[in-house]
Amino acid sequence: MQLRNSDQRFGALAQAFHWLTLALVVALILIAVYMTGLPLGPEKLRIYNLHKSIGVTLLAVTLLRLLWRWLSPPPPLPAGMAGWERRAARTSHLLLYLLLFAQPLTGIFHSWAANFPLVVFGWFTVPNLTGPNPQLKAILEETHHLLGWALCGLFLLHAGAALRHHFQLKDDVLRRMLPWG
Amino acid sequence: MKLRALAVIAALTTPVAPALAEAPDWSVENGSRVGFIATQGGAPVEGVFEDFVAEIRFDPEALDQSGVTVSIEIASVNSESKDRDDTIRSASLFDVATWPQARFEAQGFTHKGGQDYEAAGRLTMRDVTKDVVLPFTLEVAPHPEKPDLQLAKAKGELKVQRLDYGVGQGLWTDTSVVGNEVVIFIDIQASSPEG
Repeated sequence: MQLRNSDQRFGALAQAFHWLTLALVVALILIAVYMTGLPLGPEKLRIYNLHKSIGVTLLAVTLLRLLWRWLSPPPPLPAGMAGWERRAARTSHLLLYLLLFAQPLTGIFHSWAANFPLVVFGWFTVPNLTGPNPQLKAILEETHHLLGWALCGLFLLHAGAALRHHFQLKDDVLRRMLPWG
Repeated sequence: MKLRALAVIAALTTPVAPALAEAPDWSVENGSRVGFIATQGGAPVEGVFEDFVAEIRFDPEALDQSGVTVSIEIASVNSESKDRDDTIRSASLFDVATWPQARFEAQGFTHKGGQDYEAAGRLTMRDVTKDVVLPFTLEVAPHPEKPDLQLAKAKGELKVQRLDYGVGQGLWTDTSVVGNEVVIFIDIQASSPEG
C-alpha cells in the first residue's frame, strides 16, 4: 500500500491517522466515563493525567493529520451520491475535524483554568497559558462535557454511514479506508 | 493578603538583669508570604496560607534571645484551585476541623555566615510535632518608606515529608501522584524601631 492517497484509496499514512484517531477517541471516552466516577484521591488524579496526556496526543495527531490531508487530498466521494448525501458527508467530516480540535483544546484550557498541572505521560509539563480562572473553568467544564457527547454522536453517525455505504450501497467507501480492503 | 493583627508578647524583660540583651519584637509587614510547593504528577504546585501570625524577636547581637513563632491557619490555604484547597482542608489531608493550625516555634538562631542563618525549632502539623531546622537568609536594612524603622527580609525553605505528619490519610498515603516531599517556604518582611 502506498503512503499517499490515490484517486481510489486512502494511503497508508491517512489510514494510520484515521485508525489511530479512533483508538485515541475510544480510549479517551472510556477513561472519561471511568475517571469521573472515581473517589477523590491519587488514583483519580493519575487517571485524569492519563486522559489529559491522550488528549494532548490526539491534538497533535489531528494537527499532523490535517497537514497530511492538505499535502495528500482524500479520494473523491463515489459518483452517484445524491446532493444531500454529499452535503451530509462534507458537513459531518468538517464537524468531526472541528471536534477533534475543540475537544482537546477545551480540555487543555480547562486544566489551565483549574490550575492543575498538565503533565503529558509524566514526560513534560505543558505551560499554563491562561493562569487560574474559576469562571472560565466552570464554562469549559460544561463545554468539554457537551462536546464529548457531540463527538460520541458524530462518531456513531460516521460509523453508521460507513456501514451503510458498505452493506446497503455496496460501494468502496469503507473498503478504501481498510488496510486489507 | 489578609494578615492578622500581630499579638506580640515581650516576655524577655528581666528587671534584675537589665544588661542582658533583649531581642526586640518585629512586626510582620504586608506582602509577607508563608506557603508550600508540593508536587502533583511530578509538576510543582504552589500555594500560600493567607492567614498567619508571626511573632518575631530578633537581635543580631543576641541570637540566643531571638526566636520566632508562626501560627498558620490551614483553612486559609490558597493554591488557586478551589478543588485542591478543599481537599487540603479535608480530613484526608490536614483535617482543619480538628487541627485548624500548623505551628513553627524556634528559640535561638544560629548564624552560619554572611546572610545565612538557621532556626532549630519544632514544627506541628495536625497532631504531630517534629524537630526541624529552618535555614533562612536574612537582610536587615533601613526601611525604605519608614525612616525610623529597620526592615528585615527573611527567606527560607524547609523540606518535609508530609506523611511524617499524617498529611495524607487513606487513599492519600499513596505518594506516587502527590509526592511525599513538600517544601514549606517563608518570605517574610518585618520591621522594628530597634533593629
